[in-house]
Amino acid sequence: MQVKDCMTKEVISVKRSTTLSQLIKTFQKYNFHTLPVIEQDNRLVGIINFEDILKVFQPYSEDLSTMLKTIPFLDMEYKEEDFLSADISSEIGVLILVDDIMNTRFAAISAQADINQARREMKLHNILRLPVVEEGKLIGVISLFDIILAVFREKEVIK
Amino acid sequence: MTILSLGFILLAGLLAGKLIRKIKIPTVTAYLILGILIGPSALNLVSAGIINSSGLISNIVLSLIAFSIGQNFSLEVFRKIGRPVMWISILAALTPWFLVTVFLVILLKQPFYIALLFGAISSATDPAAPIMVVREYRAKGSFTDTLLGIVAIDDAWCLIIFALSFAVAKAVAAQTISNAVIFKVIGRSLFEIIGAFLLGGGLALILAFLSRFITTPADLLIYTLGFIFLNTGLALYLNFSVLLANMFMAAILVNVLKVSFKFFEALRTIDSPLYLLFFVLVGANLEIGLLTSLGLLTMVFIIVRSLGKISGAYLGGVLAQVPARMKKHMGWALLPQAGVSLGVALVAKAEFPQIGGVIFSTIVAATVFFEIIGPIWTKMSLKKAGEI
Repeated sequence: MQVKDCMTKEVISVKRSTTLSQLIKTFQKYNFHTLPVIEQDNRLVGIINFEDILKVFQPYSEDLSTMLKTIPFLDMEYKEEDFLSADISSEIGVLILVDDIMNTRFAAISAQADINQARREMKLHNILRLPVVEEGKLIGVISLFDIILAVFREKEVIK
Repeated sequence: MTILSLGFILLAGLLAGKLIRKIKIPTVTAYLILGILIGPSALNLVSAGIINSSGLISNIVLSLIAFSIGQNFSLEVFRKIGRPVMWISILAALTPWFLVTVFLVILLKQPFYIALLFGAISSATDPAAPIMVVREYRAKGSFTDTLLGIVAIDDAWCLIIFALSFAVAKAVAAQTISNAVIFKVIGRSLFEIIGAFLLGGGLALILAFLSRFITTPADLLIYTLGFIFLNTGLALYLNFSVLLANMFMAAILVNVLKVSFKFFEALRTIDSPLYLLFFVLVGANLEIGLLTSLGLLTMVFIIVRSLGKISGAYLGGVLAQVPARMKKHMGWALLPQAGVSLGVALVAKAEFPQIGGVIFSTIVAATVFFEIIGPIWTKMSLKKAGEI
């Protein structure tokens, strides 16, 4: 069975220009842990998890943080901000955009891939949802639950 | 006894790290001081077996460090870091390398290959200390952002400079014995460097191609470590640069495979205890007795390295056309020294047993100085730049 046969085609996504406030509302409304980030032409450019919201408390830009994480023996506490005691202004809701905090390093899967491969990728990256792409454009999302449903349907456990 | 020593080092290191953070000094310094205290020159609390395995552990850990740092060599990173970070970081690494080498040859009449090694080691800046100061005083602004960008990429330049200088130093040292001609020196150095590129690049392509068969995080860790050890082992066997081979393996990987980040993340799950062990062993390798005779050498190293960092950052600032306050103060902020410079000093010690102790002890003494004074300079330069 291919990924395209059991993926969810109607995907909730955000844009690079989505503000932090809009993002938080989207997370609240749909209760997803991860959302894909797309361009106007549907090209998948990133992934955002709700943990990424914590990046607004870090004292460095996202690009700098990515580089600092590659320094091998830097204490973890200098790489991350203690958000419970951080000072933040109420304006960050409109000042911070998804583009500032999204992950540009992410795993995705082709619509033509086998679901076994999708499951392997999920296990390898320790995630439960994978964006599905065709020529770089987002065309769906496949979750572990989608795979379970497909398998159970095939075995006629559920109709 | 060796296993008992390992347990003792890990637990004592953890405790020392926690204690030293209270007085705002980077954890690496705690491991280093602990190593000096429990090493054979002081309390002698660790087994000879552990000390004797320093070469093995440093090769493993430096391979991991080089592999981790190599991931910065992606087109994406170079596009993002910008001209000021690029120029200042390169010149603040190259200038101390050049000045320390020249001063040691001319002023202290050191053999060229020894001066070259000192020069290469002097190029590194400890990223932990400036970052700690920035965090401590909540510094913000363009000077701070440039400083952090520089310290993030600096280790990469240092590793390249060291790897190249090390190849030349080995060739020059061999020349004094066999009286080989100059092209032999160049040939041997090029062999070590180009061989490392070919080995690292080739293995990266195989690693990327076969990674489709890796399905679990546990397999991924084993697979990544396996390739790093294979790369390091082959580099050692074939006399190629271990550092360059691993940096290049990572650099090729990040540029050919979109999901390469998974290899680096897998390694992060196991690297902390290895780094702790490595830095404690660095301290334990210090021969305190040598220090008394190294006063002048250490002093010249400290002064010339500082001059190099300050003037190099200035030159880089001129080339990148940054504001005057950045040109003037950036070099001072880059004076702390630890981490990578200690690691490569240990490599030099292992390769050149006769003079390695002198190089290593000088670097450890200079590191202790720079780690205590360096953060103060970093703070002062941030203050003068108007960002704290």
